[in-house]
Amino acid sequence: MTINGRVGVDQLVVGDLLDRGGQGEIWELSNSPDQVFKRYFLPNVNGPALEDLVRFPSGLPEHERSLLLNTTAWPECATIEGGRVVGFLMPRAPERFTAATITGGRRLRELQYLLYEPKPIWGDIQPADADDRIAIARLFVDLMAILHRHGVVLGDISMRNVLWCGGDEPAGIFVLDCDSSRRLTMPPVLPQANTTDWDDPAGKPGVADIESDRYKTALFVGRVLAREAYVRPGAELTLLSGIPDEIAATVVKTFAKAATADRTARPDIEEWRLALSGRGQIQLTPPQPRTPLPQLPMAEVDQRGARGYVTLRPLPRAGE
Amino acid sequence: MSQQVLPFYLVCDESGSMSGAPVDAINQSLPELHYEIGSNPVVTDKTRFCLIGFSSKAEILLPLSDLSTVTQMPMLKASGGTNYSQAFDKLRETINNDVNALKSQGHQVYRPAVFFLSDGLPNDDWHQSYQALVDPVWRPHPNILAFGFGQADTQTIQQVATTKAFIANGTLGPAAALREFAKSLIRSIVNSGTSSAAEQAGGATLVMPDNVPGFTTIEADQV
Repeated sequence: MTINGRVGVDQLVVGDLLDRGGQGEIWELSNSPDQVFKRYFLPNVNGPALEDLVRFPSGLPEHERSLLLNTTAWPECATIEGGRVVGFLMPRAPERFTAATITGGRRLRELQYLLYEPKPIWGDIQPADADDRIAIARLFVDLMAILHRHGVVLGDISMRNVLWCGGDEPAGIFVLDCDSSRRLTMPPVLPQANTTDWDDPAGKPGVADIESDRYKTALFVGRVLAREAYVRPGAELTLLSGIPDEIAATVVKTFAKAATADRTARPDIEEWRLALSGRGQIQLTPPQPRTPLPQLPMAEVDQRGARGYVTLRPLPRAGE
Repeated sequence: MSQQVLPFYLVCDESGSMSGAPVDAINQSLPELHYEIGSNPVVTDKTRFCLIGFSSKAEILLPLSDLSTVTQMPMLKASGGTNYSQAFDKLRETINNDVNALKSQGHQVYRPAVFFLSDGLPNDDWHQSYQALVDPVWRPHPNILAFGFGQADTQTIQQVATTKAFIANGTLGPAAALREFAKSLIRSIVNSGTSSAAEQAGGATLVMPDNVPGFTTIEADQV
């Protein structure tokens, strides 16, 4: 039973191994089919940081909490063994984010399938059209906006950590591995993981911050709309032909801005939201700085203040 | 197209003693290996796969390939003796040609990874061929993971491995142990192609299996 966001490992009925990553293993739960159990095999788990992530959604306004929980496998409770946090439970990816394999199983519809030309061996994973790609990018940016507004960094954003659906289904995203998130005021649960080709070249290795999230958001939007697995800010971004011109123009410009050497000047999430909105931009002329006055001798300033009035006798009228 | 490529070589003993369940188990695992890797676009972009079978002689059954474009693979077929020199000579020649070809196509090539699987005692003096394969002066000398099962001699398997060796410990039958071997190979390729690590500088990194059910992990022999 879950008590204060914790559950003992001895209460779990662990089923099949689903996946094995760099930091832990994902297990099915026979007694809770809608959840999966991530068990770390690294010993130095920061338990308080993980439990803080578990509590995070409860402090959000309803509409933000609902968006967060519908678009992420956010940690639901910490799993405890011998008094230590050894992993956590999270929701299993809904069926619409999986696809049938030719061997009769199911596989996750990972972001990587939006980044390459489709191949017959992909089975029933059909490439998303331009409208779905824009909708997927907008959903991701909306999620990032909530996290950044509340001081949370997502961290490891990559071609395997985000699932998508589209086509017959309404476009959707589902973000995995949210334990790479951290509050800006807290250390991470584990040393921050980075995925090859999804790193921030100007960031400190092993550290995720708002600036690295902004850079990876640029990678996400640019790569999904261009169907390019490796393009980075600084290189030319050629978007798919179905992307409307008004969106393409601002996305290409915003993507290029993320190449700046100054990490803090990268486009923030609001800029990305605007870029994907399809609204035209009104170019404003920045105010010109005032021309400095020449250095000349100055007249004395009258500092006598307001003058009084002298009351005068009225003049006699003519003929009086 | 990715600039960085990590080539994998499965070098498989198909001597007469492998006939029956062992060869069948490997052959049955190949479609799964092909599907798991071939349908994973990032992994296919960053890795290549080659299958070499050896007995009294060695043969390239699948040249180094992008698995997403492969539609059939020759089967392993057991017969003949166990000649490691033939396997190592063929492997060295193949790696040399493959690495040169990949480089000429503009790829940055990572050190090749070899999964070497054998069930028997070699009946030749293989040390000279082996030294040529692992010679550090030869730039593309591969990382070798060696798996022994059946009658394989532990010390021989340890000597073949440069990084890790695995010996079947009898807790699983040969077919089940070889299915686990194939799973660990698939996982290693998938994780190497998509590896995430805190300290990683970028590019593909060989992710080796830690434990393989049915096998005991032993350290490679230090030379």
